[in-house]
Order: sequence, then C-alpha cells, then structure tokens
Amino acid sequence: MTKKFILVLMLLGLFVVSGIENKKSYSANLTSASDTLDNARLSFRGALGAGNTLGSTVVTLNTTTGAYPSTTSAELVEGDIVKIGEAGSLANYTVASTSSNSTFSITAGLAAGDIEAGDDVIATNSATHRVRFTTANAIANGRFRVLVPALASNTASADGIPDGGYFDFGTAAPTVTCPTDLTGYDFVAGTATASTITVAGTDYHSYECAYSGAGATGSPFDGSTNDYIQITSIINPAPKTTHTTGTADTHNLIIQHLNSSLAVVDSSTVTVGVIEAVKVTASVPNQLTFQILGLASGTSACGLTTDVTTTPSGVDFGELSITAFRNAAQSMNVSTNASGGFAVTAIADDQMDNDGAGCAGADGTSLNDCIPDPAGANTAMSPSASDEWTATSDKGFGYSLHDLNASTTEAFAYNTATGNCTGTYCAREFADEAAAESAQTIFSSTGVADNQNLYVCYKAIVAATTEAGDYESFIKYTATATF
Amino acid sequence: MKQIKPYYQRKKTHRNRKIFWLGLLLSFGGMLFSTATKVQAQLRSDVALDVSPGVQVIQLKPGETKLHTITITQNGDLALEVIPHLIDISSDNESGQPILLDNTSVKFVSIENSDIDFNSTFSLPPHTSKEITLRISPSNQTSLQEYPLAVMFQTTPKQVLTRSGASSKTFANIASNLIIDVALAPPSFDGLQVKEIEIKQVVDSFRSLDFKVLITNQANYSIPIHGRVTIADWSGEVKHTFHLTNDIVLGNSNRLARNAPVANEEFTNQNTNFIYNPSFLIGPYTIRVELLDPNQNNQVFYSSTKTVLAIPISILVAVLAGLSTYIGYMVLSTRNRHLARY
Repeated sequence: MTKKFILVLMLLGLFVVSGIENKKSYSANLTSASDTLDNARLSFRGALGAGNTLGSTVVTLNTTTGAYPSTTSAELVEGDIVKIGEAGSLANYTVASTSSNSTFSITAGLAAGDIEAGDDVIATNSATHRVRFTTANAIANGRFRVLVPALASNTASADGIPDGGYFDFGTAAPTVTCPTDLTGYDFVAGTATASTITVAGTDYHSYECAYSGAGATGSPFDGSTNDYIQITSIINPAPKTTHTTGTADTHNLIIQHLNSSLAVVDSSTVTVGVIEAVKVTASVPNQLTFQILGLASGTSACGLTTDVTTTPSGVDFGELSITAFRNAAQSMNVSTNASGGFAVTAIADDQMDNDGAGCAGADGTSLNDCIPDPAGANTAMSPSASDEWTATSDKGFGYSLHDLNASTTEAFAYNTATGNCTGTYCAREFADEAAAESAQTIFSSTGVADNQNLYVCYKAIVAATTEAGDYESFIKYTATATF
Repeated sequence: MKQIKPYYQRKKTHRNRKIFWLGLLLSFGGMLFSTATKVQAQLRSDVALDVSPGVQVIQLKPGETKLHTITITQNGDLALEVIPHLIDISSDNESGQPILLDNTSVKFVSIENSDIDFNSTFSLPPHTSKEITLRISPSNQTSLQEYPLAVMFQTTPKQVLTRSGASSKTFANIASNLIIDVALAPPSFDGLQVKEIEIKQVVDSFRSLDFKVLITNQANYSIPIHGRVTIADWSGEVKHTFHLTNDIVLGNSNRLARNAPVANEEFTNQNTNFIYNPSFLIGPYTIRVELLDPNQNNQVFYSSTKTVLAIPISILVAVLAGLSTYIGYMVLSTRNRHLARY
C-alpha cells in the first residue's frame, strides 16, 4: 500500500515538475530574420587634399590610404550633395562628375574657407531599414528591439556625420514604425535611442517596439502576414579601415525579443552590407541632325497659303505670273546635343535664269532672262537686310522665315514689324554665290537643340519683260555644329 | 387564306433578295477595304541627315598619324548622292559659329575608305549610315599650328525633279567640324586673354549690371575657356560669381564667353549676357574676369577688371526735371508780376 502511495506521489510530482518546466520560456533564435535597406550605399567621410583653390570646380581629395574612411571619389556619383569645410561651417556642393579617383568636379566653385587641406568632405547616404522576423516564443508584454552598431562616443555617434564602420544616429531621431496591432500584440509608439546598449564591447543604437498582450509563438512580422518594423533615416557607415573598393562592408545588426523585465529572451543576428554605387558610364558623341521636308500646296506659311507642293529637293513654282505672287514653302528641322548649338546657312548659286548662262551682277536686274532679287518696299533688301515685300510691282524671287512654335532663333521673321518691315511680309533675297556673297545664317541655337524647326517660305513674281522659258536656281542649305 | 404568288413573282422576289444580300455584302466589304486603305501609314519622303561627331578636336605631332571616323546617316526615305568636301573654316570672332569656306590647302587629310574620296560621289540609300574614316598624317615639315577644317557632305536626292516653269533645286548639306592641332606638346591655356568687358562706365542704380566678356586667343591653336567672373562692391565684398562655359576659342580669334548654368536650376541655354540684378546698385562695382588653368590646379593665369559706377540717374533726372520746372515757374511768375506792375 505504502509503495503504491509513494509511486503515485512520485508520478504526481513528475507531472507537477513537467508542468512547471513547460511554463518556462526557453531562449531561442527569432526565425526568418532579415533587415533590408532601401539604400545600401556607403556614406562618404573624407578630407581635402592640397592644391584646392578659391572658385575651383575641381576638388582634390586626400587620397592617403587610411588617413580617412573615404579616400577615393569612387564612392561619389554625379548629383551627390557633399558638405565641404571645417566642422561647424560646412557648405553644400553638388557633384558634377567623378572622372578620376583623386578628384571630383562640382557644379559651383569652392568658396573661401572651403579650400584648406584637411577640410572635411562629407556625403551622407541614409537608409530605411525594414526589419522582418518570426517570433520564437509567446512573451507577454514584451518588446522587440533592433540594435544597430554605433561608435563608442555618444556624441560622435549621433552628430549627423558618417562614421567609419558604424551607423550614425543622425541629429534627429529616426522614426520607428511599429507593426499594426494584432492578436496578442498591442503596440505603442516606437522609440529610438542613440548608442545606448553595449553588447560584447560594441555600442549599439537601440530601436524598440513595445507591446502589451500575451504575444504568440510563430508570429511572422514579415511585411506580408503582419507588418515589419520600419526604421527611417539611419545614416549608413563610411568605409571601414579594411574596406576594399567594390567589396561590401558587412555589419551585424541584432534583433531581440525582450520580456516585461527587459531581459533578452530571443535574439537573432542579421548581416547587412553597404557598398559603393555601381557606376554606369557611357560616352555620347556629339551629333547633328538636319531634315528638310516638302510641304503640300494649301499650307499656311508666313501668313500666306502656298500655291505649290514642294519636295525636300526642290521648289517647283510651275508657271509664274506677272500680276500675282506664287508662294511655296519647305520645312526644316535641326537637333543637336553639341553644347555650342548649331547654325543653318543658305546661299543660292545665282538668281534664277533660263539658259544656264548665269545672271550678271549681284541682283540680276539688268537681264530679261533672269528673275532678279526683289528690291523691297524701301529698296533696302539684301541677303543680310530685311525689307517689306508685298507690292506686286516689285518683281523677283525671295524668301521669308516662319518659326511655327518659337522653338528656334531665326535670323528674321515674316511678321517682323521693325526697321524696314511693317509686319506683313518681311523678306530677304538669297545670298548669291556667283557674286561672291557670303552664305547667310537663317536659324541657329547657342545650345543643345531638340527638333528646332522652321518654315522657309519662297515667293516669286516676274516682270512682263521677262522672257518665256524655264528658270532655275540652286539653293544650298548647310547645317553645322557650333564649337 | 394567304394567296400564293405565281411562280414568276416568287422567282423575282427570290432574285431580289439575292441582289439585296449581295449588295449588302459588297457594301460591307467595300467599307472594310476603304477603311483598310485609310489606315495605311503615309510614307515620309524627306531628307533627314545625321552626322556624328558634329565637332572634334584632334591633337597630334608632325609625323604622327591618327584616324578619325565620321558617320553620316540618311534617316529619310530618299536615296541620296553624297559628295564629301574638305574645306577650311574660320571663326566669326563672336559666337563660335564656324564660317565655312570654299576649299582648303591642307594636304595631310585623306579618306581611308577605298570606295570614297573627297569631291567624289557615293550613294547613301534611305535609312542607312556610312562611316568615313579620315587619315590625318601631317608630315615632319607640317607647320606647327591649328588647322580648322570641316568635312562638308553635299547631298542630292537621286530622284529627278520635274521642271516646268520656274523652279529652285534645294540641297541639304551637313558638316562635321574638325579642329586639327599640329603641335609638339599639348597646348597651354595662357594664350587666352580678356579683350574687352563690354559694359557702360555708368549705370542707373535701378537697373542691372548687364555685360559681355570678349575673350581673345593669341595662340595659333584652339583653347577652351576656363574661368569665372566676380562682381565686388566698393568694400571689395564679392556680391556674385559667374562661371564660364568651357567653349573653344579658335587660334588667333575672339569669342564671347558664356555663363555656365547654376546648379539645381532648370537648365536653359547659356548665353553671352552676364546679368547681375539686385534691387538697388550704388557706388563703384568691380567686374573681375579671371581665366584659370585646369592643368595647374585652376590657378589664375590672367585677370582683367573693369569698374562701373552705379548712381541713381533716374532719381537725379526726376529731381532736375522738378527743379527746372520750379525755376521756370518762378521766372515766369516774376516776369508776369513785373509786366502787371507796368
């Protein structure tokens, strides 16, 4: 009997002990733990070398290995904002290019006070961390804590200046966004504290999401089933002293699950890498594109309606009248990526003549087998001077220009209302190559051009004494880049 | 009781129905066909030339040989006949726009392509490119100087223009500029000087300082401009700084400097006007142009200054006008009183 009683007691004791044991939480690793950065670029922490001058747009770095965390411009890319100067007096500059490792170009010159050797050169890269994990245990009224490596100095670890091999807290506390509440987890607002925790001799910034509730085992905070923990604006480290260009520096972050007594129950270490941006470079040769299009009859150009259809290679007026103008037009487009821009010039071989013998003189007015240059209302028309041309008594062949969409800089416009022109039809005669006149610029640009276009409007009327026949001239349009 | 139509009437009705459905089918088919015709794309017929590079500077020593490739492309639908010409260019002494001349005396530039030569025709079909490789080989006796050239491509469509009455043939030419510096060493920058700072000596306080800077190149090879312009007030404080665009100045020529775009501002074409426009100007302002040598850590190798005096001219004019009016009024009043007395 006694033996049976003792046996029962022993069994009961085992049950009790096992029950007590089952109530204990065994420490474990959080599973599926990760930290994703939206910007994995290294920050830049370097200094000026010797030889920088006031107003210079080329910045020379101190490239002595180990002197500073960053000693090569390979960590900078076009468009980065760099701070240059002495502590407390840093000025912002924008990186224009990084063609060599020891220098980089900025868009505006160095100011006084930002040229001394040893002055700081700083460019921060911040990242938003998305911390994901799955709980290993149900911990009531606990908190999740993310530890990010920091400098030992509390001041330097939170001054907004990148630290070599460590994350900087920044001068303003990053925002910690905790997951949305779910069963067992009623979160409060996240908190961030600089350089407050030490683990195995390394200081860490601490980012916490505390909650009330029973917690749960296997709760995924993965951004899919439940939200992850998000921490914004942590400044990425500058390179470690052992950094090799092109190889990521790795840093260990710790994700902890604490109980209500702030004791660490579960923990996982995740590794993140930061590296220089991959630079993709290409060279773009300067190009010039020039296009001539014919226009159909009935097109509105230079305030008139064209009478004939033109082609890219010619303007066929057909039969000219002695009482009315015949009008035609072509369209011209130019594009270039040359920074100096372009110019299009025009020159005719001669006035229109009908026997190929040419037209003597600069304007061809003395011959009955030439269609001369018009004189203009004020007899002031020339290849370089405009004049109003609306009178049918003023015989000849000339041209005007029409910038349809104000995309280019034309030499003059058909509706110019200044000088000798009154705004109806301002025209010029073509430069005459046979008379050794110079080609005239008809439109141009002083910088890059994207499809700048123009109508060239042709106009002709003949005198009663002009001999019957077929008349012809040749007009050369030349596009050239400006250097 | 429904009357049955005679056979011939039934046949007619049946035939009419056939005609009706056939007509309907044909109409529908016709619509489809005409619609299909309408959606056909209209072919472009144009001359659309592309040349690359538009500008190139090549430096080499006498006796050295370099190859340079120019690509000409016809993006339009017309087949072209192309004649490449090697010609001299000169500077317009202001904008950097080259003035194309008629020919050249340069003999050390030739075309490598076996099927292409200067002043000879080659075909350029629609939507095709042609690469022309130049061999640049100045002899040991070639003068050490700059040779500004252009390869001008004169094009003519292969299709023949039908003439009737009066007509003008138009030719599209496109040029690739080529600056060849024959020198023993890379050019230095100190051939550049400031020829003139174009601004009036006295400006109104309510207007802006609006000026141009003319750079002259006294060397016989092209040099790019590196420099800045500062404006300082009477105390020497720099009120504004402009940076100069790295434009090329041909040897023995002039060029107006352009101001470079400012960081983070929307890009606009640089222009040759430097404008400093505060709300009010007073006293002397010193405009200082400094030319920098990028090979010497951007040291200043040349500078030029001009002092401009800003005075409130408009106020002075208004005051003088008022004073003149008052004096005139007083004179007239005195005279009238005198006349009235007598």
